[in-house]
Amino acid sequence: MSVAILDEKKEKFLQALEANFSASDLLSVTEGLEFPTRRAEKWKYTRVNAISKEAWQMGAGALDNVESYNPFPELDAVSIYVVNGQVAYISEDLPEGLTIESEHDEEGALQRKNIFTALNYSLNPVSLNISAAKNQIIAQPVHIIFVNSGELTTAQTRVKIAAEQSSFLHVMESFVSADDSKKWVSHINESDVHANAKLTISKWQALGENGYMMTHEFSQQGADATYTSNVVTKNGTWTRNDSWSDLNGKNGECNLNGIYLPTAKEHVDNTTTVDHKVPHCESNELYKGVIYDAASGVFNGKVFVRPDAQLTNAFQQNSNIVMTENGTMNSKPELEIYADDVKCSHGSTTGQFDDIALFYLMARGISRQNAKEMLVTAFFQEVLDAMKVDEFEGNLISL
Amino acid sequence: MIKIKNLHAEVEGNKILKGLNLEVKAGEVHAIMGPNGSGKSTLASVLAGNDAYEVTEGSVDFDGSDLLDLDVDERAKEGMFLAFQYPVEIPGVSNINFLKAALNEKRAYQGLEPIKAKEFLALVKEKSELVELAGKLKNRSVNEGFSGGEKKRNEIFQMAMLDPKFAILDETDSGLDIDALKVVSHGVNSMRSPERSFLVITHYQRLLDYIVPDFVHVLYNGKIIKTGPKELALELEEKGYDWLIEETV
Repeated sequence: MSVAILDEKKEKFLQALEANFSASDLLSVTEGLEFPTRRAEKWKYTRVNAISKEAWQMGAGALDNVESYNPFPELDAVSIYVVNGQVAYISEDLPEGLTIESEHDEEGALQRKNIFTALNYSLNPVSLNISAAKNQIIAQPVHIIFVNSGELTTAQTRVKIAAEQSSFLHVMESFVSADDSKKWVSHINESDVHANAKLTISKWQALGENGYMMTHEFSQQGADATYTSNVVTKNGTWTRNDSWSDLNGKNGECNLNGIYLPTAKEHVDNTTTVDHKVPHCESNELYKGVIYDAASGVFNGKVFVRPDAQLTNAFQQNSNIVMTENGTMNSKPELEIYADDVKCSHGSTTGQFDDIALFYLMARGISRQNAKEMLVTAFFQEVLDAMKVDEFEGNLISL
Repeated sequence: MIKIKNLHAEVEGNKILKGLNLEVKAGEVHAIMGPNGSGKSTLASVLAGNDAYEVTEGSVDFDGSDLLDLDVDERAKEGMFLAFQYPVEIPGVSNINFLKAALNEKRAYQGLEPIKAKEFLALVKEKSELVELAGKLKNRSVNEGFSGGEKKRNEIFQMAMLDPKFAILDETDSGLDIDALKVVSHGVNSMRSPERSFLVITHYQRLLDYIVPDFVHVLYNGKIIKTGPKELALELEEKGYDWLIEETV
C-alpha cells in the first residue's frame, strides 16, 4: 500500500516534468529512487509537495544588467554569474593556481544519490568545476552569483570543487531572484578537500518570495584537511539544505555554520550528516535561527562516530528564537557513537524573544525596531564570528 | 516635571497601584519607601513603560506630554531614565555601541546631528570615571560578567551619558557595599541640578544619608500614605512601617 502511494507521488512529479523534459530520460535516471514523503525520518517536518506538481522549465541563460543582482558588489572576488542555471560570465583574470571550467556529465558518481541529485545531473549535464592547485593560497574568494528569473523556471546547478594538497580556497555562492515568479533551484556541491587543504563554501540564500530552493553539499576530506560550510538563509519561501561530510583522513576538521531567519510563512530546513570514519578528527556544528511570524524551521543533525574513529571531538549546537506564537521550530540533534574514547556533545535550545532585554534597550531610548535588530544580531554574533564572512555580517538584517 | 494622578496599574490581573498621586517639580529629589509588595517597583516599571504592567486608570503628565501615550523609547527620548533594580545582561550587544546608538537616537529626536566619535569617546571617559568604571566597558557586552556593584554603577554611568531630566532609581542601593554606595551616590549627586529631578526608590534609609531627598513618601498597598521631610526616613528606620499602616487603617 505505502509503496503504491510513494509511486503515485513520484509519478505525478515526473509527469509534470514531462511537459518540458524527455519522459524516458526522467524515468530511467530516477529508477529505483523514491520521492520523499514525511514518512521518511529526514523529511518528517518538511513537505516537498509545492514543487511536485509544476511543469518546470529551463529559463533563459542571459539577463540584462546581470551584475546588478550581485548582493555584495563591493567584494573583491573572482566573479561568476550563472543565470537560470547556465553560466553567463566568468572573470577572465584568474589568480595563479585557480582553475574554473565546465564539464559535461549526465550521471555523476555520487555515492549518495537521491531522486533530486539524479534529476539534477539529467536536467543539466553541465557542472562547473573549480580547483585550487597544490600549495596555492587563493586569497581572493570565488563568488558565484546565481540569478534566477521567469515563471516556473528551474535551475539545476552543480559546483564541484577540488582543493588540492595544502591549498586554500573560499567559494561564495549567492542565490538571488530577479523577480517574484515561482522558481525551483536545485544545487549540488561536491567537494574534495585533499590533505592539509582548507576549503570554505559560504552560501547566501535570498530567493525571496516564491523561491523554492534545495541544496546538497557533499564533502570528502583527507588528512589534516579543513572543510567549512557557512549557510545563511536570508529569505525564500521554501529552503532545504542537505549536507553530508565525510571525514576520511586523520586530523580533519569539519565546521558547519548556519543562520536562518524566515519570515511570513517561509520554511527552512537544515539537515546535516557528519561521518567520522577515522581517529583524531573534529567537527563543529553551529546553527542558529530566528523564526518570525508564522514561519517554520527544522534542524536535523546527525553525527556518526564509526568504531575506528577514536579520539573524535564532535560538537553540535542548534539554538532558536521563535518570535510569535505562530512560529514553529523542530530541532533534532543526534549523535550515533560506535567508538569508546571520544568527546561529543550536542545541544538544542528553542526559546522566545527576550522581552526584558528589549525593554532595557528601549528604556535607553532605542526604538523598538532598532532594539530588536540589535538583539537578533547579538544572537547571531557567535555564528557570524565562526563564519568570518564580513559581507554576511553587514547584510544580515538590513538587506 | 511629572504629575501622577490617581494611577491604577495591574500585572496579570493583580491590582498593584490603587490610586497613586505624586508630583515632582524640577530640581527636586523625592524618595519612595515602603514595605515589600507595596508597589514601589511597579511604579518605576509603569513610568518607564514596561508593557508587562497594565495601566487601568489615571494619568501621568510629563513636562506637558501624556506619558502613558508614549512608547518606552519615546519616554527615554523625552528625558526619562530608569536605573533598573536588576540590570539586564545582554550578551553580544556591546556596552559602548548600544549607548552610542541610544545617544544618537535621542539626538536625532531632538533634531541634533549624531555625536562625533571623538566627542563621544571623551564623554565616555568623563562619565565612566565618575562612577569608577573607566576601562571596564571596552569590548564588553551590556552588563555581561559584571559584578552586582558594577551593574549598578553601569546604570548610573548610562544615566550620566544620556543626561535625562527625570531619573528613577529603582533600588539602586540594594546589595551594594559601602564603597559602591558612595560611588553611586557621588554619581547621582554630581548630576543634581535645578533642571533635573530624581525619584529614588529604596528599601533602606542608608541611601538617603548619601542622596538627601527633599521629600520622603511612604507607599503602601498601591497608594502613598504619608509624605514628609527627609527626617521621615529616619523615623521609618527606627519604628518600621506598622505604626503608619495602623494610622491609615
